[in-house]
Amino acid sequence: MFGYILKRIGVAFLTILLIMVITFLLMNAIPGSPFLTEKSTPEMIARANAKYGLDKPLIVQLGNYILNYLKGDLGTSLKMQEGTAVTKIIFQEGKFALSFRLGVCAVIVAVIIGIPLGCLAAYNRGKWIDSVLRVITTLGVAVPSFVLCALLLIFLGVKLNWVPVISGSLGTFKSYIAPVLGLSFYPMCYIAKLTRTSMLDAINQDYIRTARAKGLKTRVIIFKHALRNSMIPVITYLGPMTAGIVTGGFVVEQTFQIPGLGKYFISSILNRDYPIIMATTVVLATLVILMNLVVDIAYKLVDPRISLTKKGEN
Amino acid sequence: MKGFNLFQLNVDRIPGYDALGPEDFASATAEEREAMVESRASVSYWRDAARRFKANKVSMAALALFLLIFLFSYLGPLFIPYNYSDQYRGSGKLGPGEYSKAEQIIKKAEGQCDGFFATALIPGSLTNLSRNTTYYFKYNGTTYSFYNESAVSNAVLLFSASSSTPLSLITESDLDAGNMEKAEPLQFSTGAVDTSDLNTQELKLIKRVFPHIFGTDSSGRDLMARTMYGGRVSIAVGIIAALIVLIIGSVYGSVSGLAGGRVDFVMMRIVDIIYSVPDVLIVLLLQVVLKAPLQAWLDASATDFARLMSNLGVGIISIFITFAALYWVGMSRIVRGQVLQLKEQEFVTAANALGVPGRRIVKRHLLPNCVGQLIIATCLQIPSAIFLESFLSFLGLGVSIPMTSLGSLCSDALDTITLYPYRLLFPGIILTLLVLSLNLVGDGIRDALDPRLKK
Repeated sequence: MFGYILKRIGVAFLTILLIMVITFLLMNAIPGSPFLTEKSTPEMIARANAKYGLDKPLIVQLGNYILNYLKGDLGTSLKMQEGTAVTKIIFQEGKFALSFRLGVCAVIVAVIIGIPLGCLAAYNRGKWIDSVLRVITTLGVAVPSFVLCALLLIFLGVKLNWVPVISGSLGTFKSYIAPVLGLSFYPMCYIAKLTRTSMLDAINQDYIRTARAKGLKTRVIIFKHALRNSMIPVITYLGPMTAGIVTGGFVVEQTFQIPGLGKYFISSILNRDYPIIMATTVVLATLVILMNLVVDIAYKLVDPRISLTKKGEN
Repeated sequence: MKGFNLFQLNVDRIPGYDALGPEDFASATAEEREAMVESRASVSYWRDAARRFKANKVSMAALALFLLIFLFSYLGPLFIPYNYSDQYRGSGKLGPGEYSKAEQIIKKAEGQCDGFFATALIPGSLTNLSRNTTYYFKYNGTTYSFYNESAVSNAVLLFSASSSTPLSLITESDLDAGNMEKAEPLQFSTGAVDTSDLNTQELKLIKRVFPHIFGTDSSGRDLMARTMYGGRVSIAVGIIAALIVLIIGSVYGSVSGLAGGRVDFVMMRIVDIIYSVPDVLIVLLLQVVLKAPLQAWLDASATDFARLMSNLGVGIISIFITFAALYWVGMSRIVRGQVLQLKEQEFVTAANALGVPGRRIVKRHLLPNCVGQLIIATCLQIPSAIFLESFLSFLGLGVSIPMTSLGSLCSDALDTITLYPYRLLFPGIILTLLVLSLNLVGDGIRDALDPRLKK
């Protein structure tokens, strides 16, 4: 158990390191200098390079970056907000907090709506309600998030005028509705599908037959006995879901004009502000990898039947 | 089964000889004969899978839907007179099924002329010769020139039904006034112009105007043509990316599974690490980084391969590269798992004992047995590749203008979503249906090839 956790932490660190190296090398593979503008002279570029430590050999720069990262320093913006520390831009100006709030809301909505929907479908298996839910969830995992977000924008925002068209910095409750819905719809449908499948698997188990033989009500059997044991796949999905929410955030923040980290990441890419691209990539990647780590360890703790030492296929 | 019972010996009712009637000696019916058959011709795995797939109504419907979208994207452009990159003057911002002003007038004239050529509809060809007074064009092998005082920018040439020579010219002012009767018959001179140094295109006669079924965008490009080409790009990207993943993943996985031991351990740890890399972040980064070097390479090299690649555009190639770099890991795990399982089978041991080289064992014994799994994984990879491509294009990192994909169409539409929601609706619906149908077909193939996995 302890060995397994250590191993997973090791892989997670290696992955973060790998991402840093990859992003760093990719960034430096781009021809030209970030300081190259129409007016800049070679001396100015050299001075700027010296100022930001870009004149040193690559390996030294990389080492410095990793050391600074461990100290919590992510470098300085070169273009978009020149001279400002990236950590300040990301954490103190509320960008991270905004995206984080949105993401957490979406996770909560996806879980607390998705699981009951899956139970409902399993409970009414083969009836009309199951068919309706199956159509909705199948469609839900096929609609690209940007199409869904745009539809929400048109119908809820423009046609019905229920929610503001520009969500901004999520000041009011209403401004949450459309972005959270857009962000949580895919995971919600996926969770509902997962829950239904694993619930139907669980129903065929022996202990359910025992419970039924004891004369328990179907409702009790489903929600007390079957649900608990069918939660494992859902917990496993929480890791990939975080990654999905992070990437979904790019689209949602773009569509609803929320100045969060995702929107900032995209505009830093389009503006080629390399330290910001690198910092946001590393921060988001760390978040996703940590979440995967936590989920992997958690679900092995939750289900004692899963052997930690035996190697599965995955 | 009724027929079967007939042949069971019923001890309670053994009829006496006298009790038998003529009906007892009738030859057996087809049903009765069928019931007696004890062994049947064996059905191959693939035929069995095909039968299972055909019996699955949902997947068959999804397959039909996919084929419909495929035909729409690949054959559709043959049936409409518009091109994805041409900007038709005066046709900007049209709603679904609408005609531009010029097209409406031509529609009125449709009975009176044989065909028309409109500068507003097909760019180029009608060329200004000497500073906006003399114009020339080539039609049916003859070069015509005519004199017109005002600039002809938005003009329609009508052709008569009988003589198939140009009949008259409707200019912009006539179009505005809405009366084509006013248009003067043109005084043409033929052959007098030397156009050898000018790149003249033959005029193509249009027989009738075609509605902009999906409307047009702000620059006057027909959205249906763009959706068709976008569909082409999306489908092609999905299939090629899935094939790249298939090739890399199956080679890596089979090497790892076959080698075993330390090699396998190291190779699988590499897979573990790549697997836990948040793919989209790296993909976005790669898109930015690859663009400049790729463009430079494409501009510099003159091989056929490079020319083909430059037609695709830098954005699409970098999508392929990112798929080749990151997305093969899932496939390699599946193949490795299969190879590990098959490696222990007797027929592999037998082949080994006979001295068959490892490469041949992989080719003859292992891969054919993994084919089912490979097909399933590849089929489910296609929609996710389409998803990723459209996502990147939506963020402005995929294909570049004037090339288009379903994702970039949606992205373009987002700027004007409140005014023209239909611009997003059509490509959005097609994209959704495409992904949906491919998902369902993939599920159907999985159920058919491997019923144990059925959910």
